[in-house]
Amino acid sequence: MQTEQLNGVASKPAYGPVELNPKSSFHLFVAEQLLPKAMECLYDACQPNEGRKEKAVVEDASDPELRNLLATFPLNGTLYLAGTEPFLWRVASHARALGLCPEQIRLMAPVTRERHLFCCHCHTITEGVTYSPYACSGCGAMLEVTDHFSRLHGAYFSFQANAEDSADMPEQREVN
Amino acid sequence: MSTIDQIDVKVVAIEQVAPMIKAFTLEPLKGELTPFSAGAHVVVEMDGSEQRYRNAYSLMSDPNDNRQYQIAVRLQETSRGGSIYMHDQVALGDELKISPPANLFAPAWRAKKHILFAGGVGITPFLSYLPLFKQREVEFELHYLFRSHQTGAYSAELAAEFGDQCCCYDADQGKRCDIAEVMSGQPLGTHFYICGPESLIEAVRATAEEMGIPASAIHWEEFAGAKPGLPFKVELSRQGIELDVAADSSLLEALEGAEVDIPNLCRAGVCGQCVCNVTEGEVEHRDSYLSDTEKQSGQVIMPCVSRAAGGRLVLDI
Amino acid sequence: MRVAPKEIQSFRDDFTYTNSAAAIERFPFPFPEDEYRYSVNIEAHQPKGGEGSAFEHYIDIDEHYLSEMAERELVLKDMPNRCLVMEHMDLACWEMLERYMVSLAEDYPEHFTLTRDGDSWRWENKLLHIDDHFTFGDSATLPRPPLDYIGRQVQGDFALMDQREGNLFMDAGMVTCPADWSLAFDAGMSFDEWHGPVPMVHNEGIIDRARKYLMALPVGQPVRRLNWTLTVNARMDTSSETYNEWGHERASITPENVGEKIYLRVEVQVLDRMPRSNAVTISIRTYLLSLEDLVTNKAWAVRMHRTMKTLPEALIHYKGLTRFHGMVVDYLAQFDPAN
Repeated sequence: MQTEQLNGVASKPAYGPVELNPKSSFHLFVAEQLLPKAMECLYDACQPNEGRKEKAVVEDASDPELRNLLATFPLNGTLYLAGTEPFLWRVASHARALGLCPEQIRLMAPVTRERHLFCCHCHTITEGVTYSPYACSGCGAMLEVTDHFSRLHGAYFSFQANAEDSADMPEQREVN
Repeated sequence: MSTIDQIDVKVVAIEQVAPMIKAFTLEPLKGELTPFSAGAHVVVEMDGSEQRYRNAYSLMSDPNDNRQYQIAVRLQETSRGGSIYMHDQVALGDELKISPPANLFAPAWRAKKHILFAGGVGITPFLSYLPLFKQREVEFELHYLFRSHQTGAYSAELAAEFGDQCCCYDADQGKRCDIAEVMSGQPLGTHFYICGPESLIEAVRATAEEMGIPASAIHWEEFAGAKPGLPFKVELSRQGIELDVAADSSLLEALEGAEVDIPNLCRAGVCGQCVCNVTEGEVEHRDSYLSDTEKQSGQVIMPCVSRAAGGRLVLDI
Repeated sequence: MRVAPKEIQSFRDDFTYTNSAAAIERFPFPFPEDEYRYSVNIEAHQPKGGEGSAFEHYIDIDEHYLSEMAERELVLKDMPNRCLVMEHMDLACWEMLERYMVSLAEDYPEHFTLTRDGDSWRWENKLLHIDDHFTFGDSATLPRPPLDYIGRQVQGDFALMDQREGNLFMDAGMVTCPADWSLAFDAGMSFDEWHGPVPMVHNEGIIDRARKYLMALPVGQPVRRLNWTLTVNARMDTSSETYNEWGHERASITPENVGEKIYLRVEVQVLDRMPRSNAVTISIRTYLLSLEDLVTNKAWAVRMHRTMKTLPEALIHYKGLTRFHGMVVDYLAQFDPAN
């Protein structure tokens, strides 16, 4: 399979340290479930001269509170996101559709290393994956986890690990 | 094979649309022209008596009209001659060669609102945006800055057609545009476009930066091509020839004058097609294509706009 | 002599696919030199090779036309989402339909006819017995949406890229014979992202240069590049989706059957600018030739051997050749006088 042993795959997101945007007139900090400590620190460090800041914990991109906050989001606002990787990309994509530019959306490193896996055979997404191979929650195939990431699906590409030789199942490894 | 090389066109109308601007209507000698996308340009080839000029001009006609194209040319007396040729030499019925359209300045269609800043003849690419804005019913504002003693083509027509959406600022009547005021309070998802002199582009970019507006919401096209500089010599090491690049000629034009074929599209340092390898000599980079690392390496040059920083360059051609 | 479409052969199960002598002769052999080197290798999509060549026309219709169209129907029936179109790509799809219909009618008037009266169009495809009247730009007047409609009538896969934000995004496509990738997964990705898994190209800046080049592509100046891999059996649909069905065939190669079962799979990729939407279309036309048939051309046999022998490890792995690459080199060695 072309996607075996991918090293440094360009589609894998890199999450650098998140900085405040001093030019923004509105700073919106949004977290999934719980505001992580790193985001609390960032929120506390944010001392806008003229602008305002808000923080919110939401369930998902469709959360009414998030909708309300984004409804009045200014052209020079900045959105800071924390949560699991699929949450980050779902909310980011929702924000892009509302007109935010990429540099207005700042993603903090995902709070867990759990991945969502896209099974290329049945297109089911399996959640909470930390090792490879991992059983697909749709078709049951043992899936080899790769670093090829889709922002649209918020998930990593995966394929049946022993498709070429059913007796040749790779050893279990942790994915980071 | 569905390929278009150069298109032979005939000048079917010439109109003085402002004191310094002439509009040319071009029809194909045979067949139909291709439709194009808003913001596209063509390169017009002019056979002057001493040299061949190639200048890029925005298409300003309706993108869906494949019977004719329209371009507008501002007379640039201090430039390198292409616009003077278009103004003085090209007559009704003349034939010209143009490239197929390419687009380096398309609207960001996902924007929620579009704000256009046009400076003088910089109105031209926006004239091709407007029919599509209207057709797609998108929100926009046009801010048109000009000097009516020189430019200001179509200002009356635009004001009549678009009413409040079109604001004209005639500097010769003392009207000026408060860029910060235009840009402030705009809704989320607004994108800004500038076509005009460098000073206008810089002013809008600086205002955006000051106001915290994201850089990727700002789009611009410089209509000026190569600017003159000091004369220099260029050696083509593989061909073993040396050429003179005159003060008012670009390196690309000098190469073309010596029948050295270099692929090119925009002739303004944007598209990257004409990149050449440099083996000796310092480069004065004037393009917006090469990365800073590439510029610092001194190993490449965009000959359409950039020149030698010293008296001589050696190219690997 | 132009190759005429022949009766339907299969690309699965009993694999009845064969190449005629004429098809072998016109096969677009992809290696320009003995040593393998990765390059962007883009050239103008101009006619090359004269009458009957695979590069004679904008779109190549060959003897496998009916077989490939039948195979595509099978794939789409099973997995309709092998054809995906995001809403904003509608105009680009219509433009692709226009480009294809116009060039097919011009290049193969015996098979295809296009009659246009303003926006009222009539399309006749005599090979598939299609005769439809429709209004250009109005999807409701076609039996299927434009990409789904024209894609079922042209050999090869198709991807359409939207150009925005300084990048190209794969926002539409019909992909039923890919070399091991999934449109459903890669949909919506930027140029850099969907080339993410390709080894070696990112560090060398190849992807960046290719993207910048494509973004400046003018109307009417299509370009092409060739890509290749090796496929076990004449299987068109080597998609990621069906990898769990065909993967085991990679373990079926022996020194005895390698010449018969390994196919050189060549993709002629044509990239073209759509005039109104400013989208870039890619057609990926796949040709399959067994090693047995390939070595009937002595020059190809020698070059194929040398190229396979010098293939970098990372590419052997990426292209999924690990299990049989050695056998391919050994098989080809007998045709190389240097050995």
